[in-house]
Amino acid sequence: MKHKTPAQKLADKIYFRRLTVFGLMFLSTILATLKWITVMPTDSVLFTKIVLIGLFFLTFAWISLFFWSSLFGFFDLWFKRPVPGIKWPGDSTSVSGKTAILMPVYNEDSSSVFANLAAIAEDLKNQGAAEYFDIFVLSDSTNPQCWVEEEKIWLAARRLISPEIGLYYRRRAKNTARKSGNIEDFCRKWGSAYDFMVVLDADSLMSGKTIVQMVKLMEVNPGAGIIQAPPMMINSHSLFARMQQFAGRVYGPIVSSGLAYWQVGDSNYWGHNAIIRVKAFMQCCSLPVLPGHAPFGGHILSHDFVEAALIRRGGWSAWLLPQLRGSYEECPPTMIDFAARDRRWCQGNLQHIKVLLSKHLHPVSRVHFIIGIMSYLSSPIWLSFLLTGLLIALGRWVFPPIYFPEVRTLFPTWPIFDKIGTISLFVLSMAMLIMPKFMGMIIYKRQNPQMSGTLKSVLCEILVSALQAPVMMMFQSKFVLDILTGHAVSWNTQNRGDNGTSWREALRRHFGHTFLGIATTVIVALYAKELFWWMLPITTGLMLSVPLSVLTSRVTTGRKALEHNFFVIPEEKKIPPLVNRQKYFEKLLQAEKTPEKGVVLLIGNPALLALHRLMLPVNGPAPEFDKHVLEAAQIKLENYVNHHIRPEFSKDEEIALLYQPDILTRTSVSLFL
Amino acid sequence: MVALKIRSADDIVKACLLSLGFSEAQCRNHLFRIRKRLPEGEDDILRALNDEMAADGRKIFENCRPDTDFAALYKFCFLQAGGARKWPADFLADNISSTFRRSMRQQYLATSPEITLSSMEPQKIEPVIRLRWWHRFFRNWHRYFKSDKQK
Repeated sequence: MKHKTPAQKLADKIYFRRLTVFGLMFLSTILATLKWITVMPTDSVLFTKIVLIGLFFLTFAWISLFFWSSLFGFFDLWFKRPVPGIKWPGDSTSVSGKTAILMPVYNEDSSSVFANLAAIAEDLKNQGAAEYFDIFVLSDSTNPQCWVEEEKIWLAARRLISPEIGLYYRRRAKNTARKSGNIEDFCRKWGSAYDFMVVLDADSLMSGKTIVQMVKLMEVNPGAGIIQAPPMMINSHSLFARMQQFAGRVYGPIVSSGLAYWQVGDSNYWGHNAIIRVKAFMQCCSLPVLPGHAPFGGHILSHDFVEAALIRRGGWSAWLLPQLRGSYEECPPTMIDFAARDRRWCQGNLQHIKVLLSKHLHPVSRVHFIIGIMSYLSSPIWLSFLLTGLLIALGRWVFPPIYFPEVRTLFPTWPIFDKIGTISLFVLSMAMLIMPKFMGMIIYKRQNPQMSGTLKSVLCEILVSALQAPVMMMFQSKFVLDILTGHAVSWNTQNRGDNGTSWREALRRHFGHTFLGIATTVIVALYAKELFWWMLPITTGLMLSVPLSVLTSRVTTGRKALEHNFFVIPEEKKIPPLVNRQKYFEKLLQAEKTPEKGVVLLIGNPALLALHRLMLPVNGPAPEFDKHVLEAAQIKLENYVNHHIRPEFSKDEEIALLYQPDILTRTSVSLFL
Repeated sequence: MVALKIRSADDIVKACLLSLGFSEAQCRNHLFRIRKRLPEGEDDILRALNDEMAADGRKIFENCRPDTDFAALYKFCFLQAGGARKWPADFLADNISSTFRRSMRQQYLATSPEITLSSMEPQKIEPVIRLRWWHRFFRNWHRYFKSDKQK
């Protein structure tokens, strides 16, 4: 018998894994669809039958992939099987390459951003690896007040960070291609000086141990282009965020382990909390501008998936390693903020339709794109499925069944409705959706036996997420419709504050959902009684969308849940030292903030002004301004200096002034006259 | 430029010194010395002061990139080092003392590492299947309707 090389054995293993996951997905979907064909109402026309079968197939395939992937993830975690094909570094492996830690920011709270970096830097110093790292804050901030504050807090944060680690700041004058352009700009200017780069998000926090481990992994696996550490949510206060945080902590590991099971070295990149080989990135990841106009054309929004696919196309591997812990992020605090983030991601993912058929991509990269697209298309598909079912039922009221057709028959023609079959399919679908949650809970309890209140939290989370699901379905369906009709999204800063949603705001955002919920309930109760109980879980979620959105957005309800031991994660019982240090640094940096902002802050603080002047060349050439904008800004500045009238600059005026260091210096000196 | 109230040259130098952390008394002590360093009959006192600071900055931070804003660097380091309190006499002095030079250098901060420009080749994203007829239809769909109406 011919002996196989380790590489061939690995290839066979990967092939088998993919075959089992996707084979089982297709098999279960086909069997369920065949069953669906037998239980479908017999009195509908052929067209609606085909539509219903198609929509059922797509919906079931989607939940089935999630189920089978999670099941294999569960077994991998239970038997503690590592991801095959990647070499883990030994204890003696030392760090030798230079790594840049990149923090792209866009009008974020600078004290929180720099506190995260100070905590990471301190942890790296504790690991004895500080000299191998530099940190870059790559600002794309368009708000002039954020810009000046970033410079001020950068200066303060330098004092908190070991001098062995360089902490650098640069702001781009023009934020071409958003985050991907920002990273690309870094690579073009400084990339050649670094072997690896760890890309973070504004709310990312990673332990020094994890970062060092990732660098070592890169060093012992020279073919690795990307290594993604699955981030865990922390620092949540509102009920919504706490539930997301709990769900991520309990179900997240089996989801990521399931993905790693079949993706192996062809994994995806989630845009942050990952290490990238700079050489591979520079070789493969200069993203093109897609032909056509936004939302499908233009700069690629969800750049991460595309970068992973291009790196894979370039012959490098990409890994998702669930074993990597100490990687954290934060969650949007409210359902509305969550939906706003989804709007951006939805456009980014649907834009991938154009990339999906690109030449020479790895088949698994194409699967990543399909999964990303489907995660948003699944909502309108589900909605269409519900609407079609409802229309068929209403059709019966408009065109009642004819029991005795003109052609004489022995028996009346009954419309057949297989209630048992429908219920069994419903139970199967629900089981496939909910079982992974319980599997996640089993692993979680095994790893954290000290945690109590897990079962009640899981049950409560299932209930609330079931109520939220129809609201998210409506949101996402609208987003898809908006995008398909050519409405592009603008680049807004993600809300990370804990202000909660007001009743007025909730009513404005969820009025349509509530109305639809009430209208559907009334229509179904009057004209399609047999669907009433089937539709109730969906219509209830819609009818309760306003109170659900408001109550889950509150910190007080989140705190109440915590007091009653709901949604508590181990990181809250025993806060990781890294998180404590981040909070400590944030408090220190918050104290640096002053009521003065922007130009007024700068001209009143000569040291900061001198620093601003020093940093202007790094930021690149000044953009061109309308002469009148600068003139208007100067008049306001004159009034401030000579008559103490507080200036109310427009954004353009303030930015224009910030690019005029001589004017600012003269004004600053004149304040001392 | 921002129109300022007309002041004497001494007032402007004093304002500059105050902005650098000098006290009123220190201003009185050092004003004459600093005025002497500025060119006679100079209209733009602030610019002249900046040029002097840049000249001294260039001597102190001799290893910096030539395109550095040395006046800003000098000011920044002087302020960060508490220069007005510790070395008022060394500010724009004829000879830069070694302790002053060392203290100023200690405050130096690199805003970024040396830029070494590299190129990145834009990647091609070409569809495997060219859906020409499909694209053509959707690009020109309004024309189909128009021609229908004309018929």
